[in-house]
Amino acid sequence: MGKLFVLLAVVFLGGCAGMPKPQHFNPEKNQHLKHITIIEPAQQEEVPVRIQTHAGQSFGLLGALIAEADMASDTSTFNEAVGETMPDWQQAIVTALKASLEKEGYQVSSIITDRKRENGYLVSYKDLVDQNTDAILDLNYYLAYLAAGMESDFIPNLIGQVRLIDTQNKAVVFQNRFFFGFPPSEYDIEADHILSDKQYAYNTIELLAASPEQAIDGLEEGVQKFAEKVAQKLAKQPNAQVEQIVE
Amino acid sequence: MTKTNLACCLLLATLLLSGCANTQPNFSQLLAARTNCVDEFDQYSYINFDEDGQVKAMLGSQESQCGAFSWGATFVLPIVLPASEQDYQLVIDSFVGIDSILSPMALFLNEQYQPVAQVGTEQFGYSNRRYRAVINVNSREREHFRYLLLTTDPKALGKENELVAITQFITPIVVPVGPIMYTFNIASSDSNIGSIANVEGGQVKVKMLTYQPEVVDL
Repeated sequence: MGKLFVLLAVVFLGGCAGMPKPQHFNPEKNQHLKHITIIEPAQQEEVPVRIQTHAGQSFGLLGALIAEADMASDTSTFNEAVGETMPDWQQAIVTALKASLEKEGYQVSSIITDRKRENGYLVSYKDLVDQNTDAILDLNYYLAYLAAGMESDFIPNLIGQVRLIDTQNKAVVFQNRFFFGFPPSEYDIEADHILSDKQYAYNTIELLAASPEQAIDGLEEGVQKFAEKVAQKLAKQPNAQVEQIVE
Repeated sequence: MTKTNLACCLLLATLLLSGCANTQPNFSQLLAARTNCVDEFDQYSYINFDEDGQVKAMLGSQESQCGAFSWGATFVLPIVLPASEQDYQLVIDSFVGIDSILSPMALFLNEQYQPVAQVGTEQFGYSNRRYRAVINVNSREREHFRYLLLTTDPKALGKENELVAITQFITPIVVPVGPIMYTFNIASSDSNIGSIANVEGGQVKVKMLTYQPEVVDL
């Protein structure tokens, strides 16, 4: 029991320590940002299928290894079922973000870097900016089908973090995390949560793998809603409309 | 799941939830027992932000005061806004109780305690088990905004919010994405979605953030 609490403490502290400080967008102070360049995120080739409280995890290291093997098998089953129809998630996210930001009145372009999947935000943005760019949008994401436990449904999840940098003053004028699917923890109150549609819930890996096109629709819905939420946060109108009271 | 793990999870869930569960007042009793109502805004005891730039309160508890607004709202949390020479942001969060949430309304007053602006519930966005409004207090607002009354929005009272995420049984999960560790909640896909009602009381937090964005290497 003691070890479990130590583990939980490490888990919670790890979660808190790694969270970037949120920065809310101030539309009035950022009206000069007209052209955003998206730094394309790393590619995610495979969609993991995971059971977060797998029965095997209750049986020590061996059980944990068995659980991992079981989930690797589920991941393979699903990804093989999707096969060649697996979307290019990197491009799907960039395309959705471009469209959503353009609706908010921004001009949007994108650039590719040699970032690796394990990278978070880029450490430096030197040499990535041209004169036409007012702001850089850096992001990363994680797409997966997750189930709470052995008897629970697999639902589509997208976890993303985004920041926008003003190229004139190098300031991070927006930064936050977004969770599509399962909600963020109690300790991550700053993050935004987006509900997934119940139609994309599958009780078994067999049902998930039997409906690959629909299951992918569920993840694409996540990409779309994530992009819309990001654009909403970067709207040139204030997040909360203050109604002036005239005597 | 073994019995030991189940017990640990239940204990953890209890620990996480206990803070909220113990602070839920009986709002109907509080409403019935309210005393010292005042009609004039300058009669309230305004409170300041704490050292961390926050005010946390239960509307309907001792921190909040009784009001008798002409529009029907009852409890009010009166706050002194900082006499800041820098622009700042106010982040107002109203948190979901078990099945209800405060329908918030922010009313800004000038130096003479006259209302100059308001933000109704419809301007608060629901996400992550809370209503939230981010209000940018830039130079124009700073000229007039001196006090904030956080109260209930009678237009939203009693309305139901469908398909919201409600925390019931929590299993915190960590997902590493590069150097970032995300911690999020897992509940069964059906049990964590439901509806909540807008009511007159609940837990609120107002946070003042100076607008000083982090600077990066460019």
